[in-house]
Amino acid sequence: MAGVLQKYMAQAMGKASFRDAWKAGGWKMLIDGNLAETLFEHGPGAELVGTDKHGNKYFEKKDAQWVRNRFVVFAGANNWSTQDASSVPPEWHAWLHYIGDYNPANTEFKPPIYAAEASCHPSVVGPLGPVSATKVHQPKGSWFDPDKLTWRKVQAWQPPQE
Amino acid sequence: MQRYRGALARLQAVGLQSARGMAAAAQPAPAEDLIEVTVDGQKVSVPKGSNVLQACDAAGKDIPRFCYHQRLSIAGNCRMCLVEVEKSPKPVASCAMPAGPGMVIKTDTPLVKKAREGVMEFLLINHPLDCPICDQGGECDLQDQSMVFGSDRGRFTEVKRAVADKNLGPLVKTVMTRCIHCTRCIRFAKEIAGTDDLGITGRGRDAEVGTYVEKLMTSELSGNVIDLCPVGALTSKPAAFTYRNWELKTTESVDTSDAMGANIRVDTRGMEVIRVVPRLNEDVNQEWISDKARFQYDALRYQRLNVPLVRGEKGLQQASWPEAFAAIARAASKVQGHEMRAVAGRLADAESMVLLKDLMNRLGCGDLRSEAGFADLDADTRSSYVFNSTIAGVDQADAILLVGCNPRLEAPVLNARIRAANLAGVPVAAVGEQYDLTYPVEHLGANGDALDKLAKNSDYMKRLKGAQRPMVIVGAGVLQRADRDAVLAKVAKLVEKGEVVREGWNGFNVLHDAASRVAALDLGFLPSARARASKAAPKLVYLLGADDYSEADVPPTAFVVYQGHHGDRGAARADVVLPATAYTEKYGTYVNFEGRPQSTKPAVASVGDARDDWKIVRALSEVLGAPLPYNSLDDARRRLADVAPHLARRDAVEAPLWLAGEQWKAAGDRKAAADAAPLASAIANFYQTDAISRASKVMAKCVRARQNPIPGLHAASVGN
Amino acid sequence: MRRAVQSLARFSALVAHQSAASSTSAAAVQAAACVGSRRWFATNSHDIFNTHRHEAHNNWDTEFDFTDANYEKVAEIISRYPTNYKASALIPLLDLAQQQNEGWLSLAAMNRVAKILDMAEIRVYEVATFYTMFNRSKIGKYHVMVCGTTPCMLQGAKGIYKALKDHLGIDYGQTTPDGMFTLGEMECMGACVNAPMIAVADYTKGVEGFSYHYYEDLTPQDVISIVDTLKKGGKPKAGSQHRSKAEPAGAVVDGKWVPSKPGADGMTLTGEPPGPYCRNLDEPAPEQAAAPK
Repeated sequence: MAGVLQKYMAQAMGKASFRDAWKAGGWKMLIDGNLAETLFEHGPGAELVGTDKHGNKYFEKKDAQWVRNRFVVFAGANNWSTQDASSVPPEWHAWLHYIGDYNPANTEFKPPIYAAEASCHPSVVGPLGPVSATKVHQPKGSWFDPDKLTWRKVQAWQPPQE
Repeated sequence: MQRYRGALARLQAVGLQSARGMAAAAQPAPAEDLIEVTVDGQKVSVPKGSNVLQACDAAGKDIPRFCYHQRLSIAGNCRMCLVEVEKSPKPVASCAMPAGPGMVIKTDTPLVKKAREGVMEFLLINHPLDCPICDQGGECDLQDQSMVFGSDRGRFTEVKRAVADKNLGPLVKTVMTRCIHCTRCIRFAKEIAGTDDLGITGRGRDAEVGTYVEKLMTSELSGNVIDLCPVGALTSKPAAFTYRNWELKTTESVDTSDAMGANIRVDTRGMEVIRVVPRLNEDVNQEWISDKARFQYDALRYQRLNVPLVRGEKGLQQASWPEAFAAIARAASKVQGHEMRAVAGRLADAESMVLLKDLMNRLGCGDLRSEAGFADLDADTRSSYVFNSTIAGVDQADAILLVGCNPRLEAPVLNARIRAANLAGVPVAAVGEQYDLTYPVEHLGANGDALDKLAKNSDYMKRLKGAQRPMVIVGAGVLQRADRDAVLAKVAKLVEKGEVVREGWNGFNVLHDAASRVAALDLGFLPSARARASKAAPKLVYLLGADDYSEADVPPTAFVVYQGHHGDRGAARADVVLPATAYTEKYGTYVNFEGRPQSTKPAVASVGDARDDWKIVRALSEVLGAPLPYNSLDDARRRLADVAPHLARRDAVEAPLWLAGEQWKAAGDRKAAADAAPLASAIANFYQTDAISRASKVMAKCVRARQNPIPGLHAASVGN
Repeated sequence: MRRAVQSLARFSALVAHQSAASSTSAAAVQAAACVGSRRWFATNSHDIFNTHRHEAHNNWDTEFDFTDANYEKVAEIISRYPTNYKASALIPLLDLAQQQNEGWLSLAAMNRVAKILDMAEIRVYEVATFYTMFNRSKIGKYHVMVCGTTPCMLQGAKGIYKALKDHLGIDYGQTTPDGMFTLGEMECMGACVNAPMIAVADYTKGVEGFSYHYYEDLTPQDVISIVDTLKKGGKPKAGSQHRSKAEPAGAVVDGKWVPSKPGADGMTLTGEPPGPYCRNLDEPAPEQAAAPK
C-alpha cells in the first residue's frame, strides 16, 4: 500500500521533494493533516532558509500569499509529541511571524544571556551560585549586578567642590 | 466606559454650555429660552441653541463620541454620536444637529446600535491593533467604545494604511497610524492655543494629521492635546512606555509652576511621579494646564537635596539635622536680630512663610522679602496686588488692556482665556513691549509715557469708559521695576479716569509670576519700616527656597541658610542647606494671583532626610531659642487664618475692598520719575523659571527645541 | 501535477519578464532615472507624500514671488471675493502660482499665497494637498494626463496609456529625462462623448501662454503624434482628432477611428444597434390593435 502511494505521490509531486516529505513525515502524514499540508501543500518549491539549533527547518515560498509564505518543519516531524512550537528560538520566531525580515541563519544577533543558562556555566560564580553578574541581564536596581545597583529613583544634588 | 462616564459626569457638573457661556449658564436660563425635547421617552428642557448631544447628556444618556468636545468647535466628522430622531429618514450625528422643540430622540434603538457599529468598524479599518504597546491603553476612548460597539472581526481584507509619525517637539509623541482624524488637536491648536500649525493634509485614505512641514508645536499649552486625543496618536513623550494608567495612584493637588494655581492631578507609582494632568476647575484653569506644569515633574528626580549640608573646609558636607541646626545656632548667636534677613522663594508655601515670619520677628528681625520681588511695595490694600476681576471674570470682560505683561509666558492658561474672549469679539490692547500673544493686540505704546497719553482723553480712553466691564492687567514685570511707583501712579490715573473700577466690577488686575507671591503679600512677608530704612548689610540670610535673589539681598560676607528641595544657586551659595519637600510631597497652601488659597497634597514621600518646610522652621525655632507654639499643620494653618483670615476659606476668592484707590495716593506721593524703558514681562524663558523647572531635563529640551522651532529652516545641510 | 502547473506558470512569467525587460530595457533605465515613482494605490496626485520633505530645490530657503504682472492678476482675483472672505481666493491663487512656477507649487509658493491671503500656512497646505491638480513636486514642461474613468476605459484608454508609456518610456507619475513630459492619470474630465481622451497642461510659457487642452477621440497613433508635435514645439490640433465636435461621425473602436456608415445620418452608433429594441410609440401596441372593438 505504502509503496503504491509512494510511487503515485512521487510522480505527482516530484521525486526529490516527496522523498524529503516522506522521510520527514512518513505515514504520519496520512493521519496528521497539518503535517501533510505543511509537507505536501507548502513544501514543494519552498526554499530552505535555515535550520535552528534544535534542527527545525525553516522554509520560505516566495510566490505564496503574504503571511502564508514562511513555515517551519519541526525536527521531529514524524512524532507529534516532538512537534513543539516552543522549540522555535526567538530570532526564528521573529522571522517566522514577520516581526523582521532578517534571516537569522546569516544575521548576527546580540545573544541574550539568561540567568538559567548562565547558571549552568561552571566557570562563573555570583552571589547566588554560579552566575556571572556582568553577563546576565538584570533589571535596574538588581542586587546581582553592582552597576545596576547604583541606579537611584532620585538623584541627589552634588554640591560644587571647592 | 468608565472614563467616558466620568467625562459625562464632569460635563453635567459644569453645565452644558461652551466655555464662554459657562458664567451665563450658572444662572438658570429663563423659561422662554428653554426648549423641551424627548430623549428615550424622557422629557428634558435644554437651553435654545443646544445640540441633540447636549440634550441627550442632559437626560443622562450616554452618547459615545470622539470628535465632539464641549470646549472646541463642532466638527461632526467621527459620526460616533449617531442617534435616531423621529421623522428623520436616517440616523443623525447628534453633535452637529441642533435640538428643536418637541424633538423625539432615541438613543438605544437597534438602528442606533447598528449605525454605531458600522461607524466603529470603519474607524477600526485603519487603526492598528497595537493596544498592548500603546500608552493610551486602558484609558482609550476607542478601546472603551469598541467594547460596546466593536466587532471581534472585521470585513476589511485589504492592507491597513500606515502613516509617518510627526515630530512635534520634545513633549508630544505621535503615532499617527493610530489617528482616527477626529481633528480635536487641530481645533485645539487653532482655537484654544492659537498656534495654527496642525492640519489635515491629503484626502481620502491618504489624509493625515500633521504640520506638513516638520516643525515644533510652538504652544505653551501643547501638552493638552495629549488629553484631548481620544486614541493613542498623541501621547506624552517624556512618559512614553513608563506606565499603565491602572498602576497609578492619583492625588489631587495644585500646580506651583506659575501664579495661576492650576488644579492638577498628580499620578504616582511607588515614590515616583509618573505624570501630571489637569483637573477640571471652571474658575481657574478650566481643563487645561501649561506645558511647564505638566512636564516639569521629571525634575523631582534630579538635583534633589536629600540630606542637610554644612559648609566645612572642603565645601558643603553631609551632616545630620542636629549638626546643621547647631551650625545655624552658632552663626545666629553671633548676630543681632536686626542683622538677619529672610528671603522667600517662588515656591514657598504660606505655612512656612508665616512660621518663618513669626520666628524672625521673635528674633527681632523685620527684614523679610521675596526673591525677585518688590521689597518696598505697600501691601496694605489687598486689592492693589491681586487679580480683582478673577480669572472667570475674563469671560465677562468686554475690553482688556495689558500693561507690561506677557500672559502667554506668565500664565499660559489665562492667556488662552483671554484669547477666547478676544475671539468672541473683546478687543485686547497692550502697553509695553510687544509680544506674540497668539491673538491680535492693539499696541498703544511701550513705556510709561504711553500710559500718560492714554489717560489724556485718548480714543482708547473713551472706549475703555464705554465698556461695561473693562479690565486692566498689570504684569509682575511692572512691579519689579525701579520706577514702579511712577508707573503705578500712571496706571492709577488711567484706572480712575477710565472708570475701570465700578459698582459690582473691579477691573484692576495684577498678574503675578510666582506661586508664593500673593501669599507673601497677604501675610505681610515684607520688610518692616526699620528694615526699609536700614542700609546695613545683613549678617545672616535665611533663604526659604530662594534662588533668584539679587546679589544685593545676600551680601558676600553673610552666613546663608538655604532651605529648599533642589540644589540650585541658593544651595550653592549657602553655608547650611536644609532639605525640604517639593510641592508634590507636602501639604502647602498656595494663593494664586486672584487671591484663591488652594492646597497641595503629598502624592509621594519626601526624599531622603527632607522634611516639610513648616516643620523645619518649627524645629529651628527651638534651637534658636524662640520656640514657636505651632505643633501641627492645623496649628500652622490656624496661625495663617489669624494673620490673614481669608486664607482659611480654601478654594474661594474673597473679593478685596477697593478703598477708592486710596493706596495709589501713597505711590503717587513719592514722585518717582518714570523710566523710558519699555514695560517688559518678568519672564523671558517660559520653560525655566524656578528651581524645579531649571532642574528638569524635559524643560531643558524644550528650551533647546525653541531655539530651532523649524528644523531645516535654513537648509544648508539639505542633500539631493 | 500541481507542481508541473506551477513550474510552467513560473517559467512563463519568467519568460514574459525577460522579454519585457529586453525590449524595454532602455526605457527601464530611463524610468529609473526619472523623478518620482508610481504609488500602488488609487490616487491621481502627482505627489507621493502628503507631507513636505526638504529637497535642494524646494526648502525653506527657496524663494517665490509673483511677478508684477501676476500681482495685478492676484489683485483682480482677490477683488472677486468679499474682503472678509479673502481666503476664498486661495484656489485661484494657487493655480496662478503653479502656472508661474513651471507647473508645481514649491513650499515658498504656498507660503507666499498664505501671506498674501493672510491665512495660516497650514490651511494652504491642506488645500494644496487635497486637490490632485496641484503638483507639489517638480514636474515636466507638459503634464500629460490620461483619463482613466469608465467611458474612456471602455473606448480604449488602456491602449492610449500603453502607447504613451512605450513612446515616452515613463510610467504614471514619472517624468522623461529631458524634463519635457510628465505622465499622469486623471479621473473623468467630462469629455466622455469623445472618449478616449487626454488632457495636456502646457507650462512652457508661464501664465500668459498657459494652456490646458483636451485631445479627444484618440487612437494610439494620434497620441504619439500629439506628443511628438509638442516635443518639436508645434501645436497639435486640440479637441477631437477626427470630427469637429461631438456630432455622430464615428467612434474609436479597438484603437482605430471607425466613421459612421454613410447614410446613417443622425445615428450615433457605427451600425444598427443590436436588440432588444424599444417599442415604437407611434404604432399602437400589438395587444391594443388586437383588442376587440
